[in-house]
Amino acid sequence: MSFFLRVSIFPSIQETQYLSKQTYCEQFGALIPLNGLPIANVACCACGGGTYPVQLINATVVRHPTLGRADLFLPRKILNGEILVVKYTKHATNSSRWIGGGDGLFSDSWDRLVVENNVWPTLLNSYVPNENASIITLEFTGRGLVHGQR
Amino acid sequence: MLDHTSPIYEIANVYDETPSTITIDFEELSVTKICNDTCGAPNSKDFTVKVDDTIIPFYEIVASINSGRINLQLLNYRITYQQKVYLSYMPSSDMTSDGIERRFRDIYGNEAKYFSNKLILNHVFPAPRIALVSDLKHSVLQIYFTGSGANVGDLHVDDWTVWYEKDQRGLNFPGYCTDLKNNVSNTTTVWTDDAGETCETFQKSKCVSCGLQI
Repeated sequence: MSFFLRVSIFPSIQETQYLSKQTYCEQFGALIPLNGLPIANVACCACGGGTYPVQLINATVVRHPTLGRADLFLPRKILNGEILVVKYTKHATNSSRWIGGGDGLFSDSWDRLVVENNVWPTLLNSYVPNENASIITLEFTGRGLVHGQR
Repeated sequence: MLDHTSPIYEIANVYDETPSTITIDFEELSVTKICNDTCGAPNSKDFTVKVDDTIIPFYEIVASINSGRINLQLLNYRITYQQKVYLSYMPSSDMTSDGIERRFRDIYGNEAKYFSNKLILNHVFPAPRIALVSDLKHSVLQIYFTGSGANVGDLHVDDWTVWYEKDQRGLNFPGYCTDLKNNVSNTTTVWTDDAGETCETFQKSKCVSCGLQI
């Protein structure tokens, strides 16, 4: 009976890559934001969209004498044409988390900063339609190509 | 006791709460010695305000007295973080009653002395200048700041909120889930949890329950 169960219920686990909460989330724990969400599903699978926030992988200051900046690491690549918005909430008490210059002045919170998307259109796919075999169609990311010469 | 000393420039400030207003303090026994009503009416024509290499036209400045200080309000300009602002004052030589009125003074009638090219203290905070995703790093959102930018901070993801408003075609973005990349091998591993759920099943059902609507 027990032999029958091992064969019928678990064989797919041995054939596919199986990543449990322990193996995946502990191995790649450094990637996972400390966002107070304890469930492995939440931590390993980054979700976002609509008016709901994207889970960020990391945030860091890139120091530079004239162009110091903040980098936010997103869970996936941005495509041409996508519109993102970023909001910053200055922590009420923990000043080490504040972002600022080297002179003791720090940025205030802001609610809405639209991100400039400088990602170029990239080829999504190309195909020859069945109804007209003499045309090759190239499809790009973004909102379509409007410039260019044949 | 009669005071014969003229008000002399002491310091000027611009603060983050009012980045269009320069406040000038004078060395005086009392900060209210340059009184509001009877100590003259400063005129912007007598001041020169230079921000970095740009001189603000006098007709875009309103000068006034407030609590013993001179305020210069820039009508069409906001001073930003780390900008160098220089200030000069040359009293009017106009001897008409209007010209005399422009030469503001303390309550004993001592006119304020001229001053030239004084660097004011700029207390305006760094502010975001632009946020962008460059074509070189498709998954990094870079935020640049005014002045020399951000150089301090142990940033925490909880302080930042990013959301998509439109998809690549300009439509409202429904959102989705993404398997996180393994930065060690630079590969993306298809994730499956203990219950056999993939990111795809998570997207369809679980994200609503964890607070992220898909």
